Amino acid sequence: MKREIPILLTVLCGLAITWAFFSPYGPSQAVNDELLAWGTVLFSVAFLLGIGNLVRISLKQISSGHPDRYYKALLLLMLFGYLGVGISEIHGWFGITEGDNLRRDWIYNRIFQPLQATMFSLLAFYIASAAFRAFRARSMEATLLLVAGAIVMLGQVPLGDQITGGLASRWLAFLMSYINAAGQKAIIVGAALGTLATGLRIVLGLERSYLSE
Amino acid sequence: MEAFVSFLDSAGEGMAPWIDTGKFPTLVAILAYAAVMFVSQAAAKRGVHIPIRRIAGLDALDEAIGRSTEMGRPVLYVPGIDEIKEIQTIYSMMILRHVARKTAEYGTDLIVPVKDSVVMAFAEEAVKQGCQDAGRPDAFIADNVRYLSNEQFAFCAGVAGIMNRERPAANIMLGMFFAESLILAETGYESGAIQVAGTAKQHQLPFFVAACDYTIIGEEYFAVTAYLTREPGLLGTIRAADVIKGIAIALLLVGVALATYFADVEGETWFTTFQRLYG
Repeated sequence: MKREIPILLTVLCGLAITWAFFSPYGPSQAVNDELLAWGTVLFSVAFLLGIGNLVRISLKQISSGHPDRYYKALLLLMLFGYLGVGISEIHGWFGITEGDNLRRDWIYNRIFQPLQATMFSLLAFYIASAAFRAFRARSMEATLLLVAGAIVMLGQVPLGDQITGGLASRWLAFLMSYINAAGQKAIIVGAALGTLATGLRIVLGLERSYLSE
Repeated sequence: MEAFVSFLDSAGEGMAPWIDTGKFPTLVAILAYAAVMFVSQAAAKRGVHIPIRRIAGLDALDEAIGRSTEMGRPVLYVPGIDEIKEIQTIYSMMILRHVARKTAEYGTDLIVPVKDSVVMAFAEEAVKQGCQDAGRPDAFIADNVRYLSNEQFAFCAGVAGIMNRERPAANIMLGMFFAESLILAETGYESGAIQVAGTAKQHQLPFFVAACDYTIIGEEYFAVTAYLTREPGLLGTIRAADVIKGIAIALLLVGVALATYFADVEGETWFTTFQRLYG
């Protein structure tokens, strides 16, 4: 029964949610809404698992004198510090006006957002280094990639049209509208069929490798 | 037929209909796909040979793990950044089990950073099962499945940090990725690891193709377990997808021909009609 019950639950829930997609009938939607609410609760509780994993590994590295122990200590300080700030603002502790989000917003906007933007901005440099490595005519496919990349880069800037007498943007439009779009759609169709097949196998209980046996 | 449709449209006075008849074609398509899948699976289990072409990225998985073993460095497996409800993430967990079995057989460490807590639970279970499949339950190290952060770029920074500090010899990135894909791939390249990446997210594929040694593209991603295990049920699923694709292509061609034939305006040649419609 250790295997059969999870499979049965998966099949019943999967079929119920799939049926709710096709049926606007009231009870179908009610079952769907209830299952989604249960899922939301489970996901929220699962956060505790993640935090537990993070704290356990960090404490172990701090106590064992790992070279990164100071970063782990900072991580735990930020994790519980931000949590404490948020809870105190929600409940109005330590003289803070209840519902006041100033401190939370300050930390989020002045620390987290710039760090996030910094990581995102690395893409600009990594695109250049990846393009420098990839756009080399060492084979037929690489040459095609190089030519397509050159056309796209020239077509995207006004200088490209000036150099090519207006042809760059037309080549870009042709490349993106027909060749690129066709390739993307082919990948989308293939991926969609693969998704459908895997989903059907899981919902019908045929795929069980995600369960422990 | 009309009586049947009107029955479906009226579950009762003042109540929503049983079935949204507008979604009937979708339901029929799914049922047809399921039927083809069952027939293909049955044929595969009876012993009908279903060939799969060689996929370089999948052959490279063993090579990557072997390289890590020889160099005495860990394997890094990134299962994407989406939640467990995304099919690609579920599929990544199935592949993770195979990779865990291989690394347990070879005695190599496997590090699995995850972005989602539920995915972490699945990943732990997949790695544990992989180690048990290899007959090495002692090879499972719970601290190697690491929840980093639920934020996209915080997770990306964490994985980049693992790549730079722990210097895995092989990076396997299979799952759903977004803007962080190139950062991960380039950081992995700079750390000197062999990289095998795969996703069905078409916008991230170019980054993986440019920065990784091997890329598993789109539908190849869903053929990984069938390719590695050659299990008849899975091979049948691949065959079913190919059959449906063939039917879809045939319908597309017939549709284009009919649309072109019936779209001509008096005085137009077929060539000018084609130009007007598709030029």
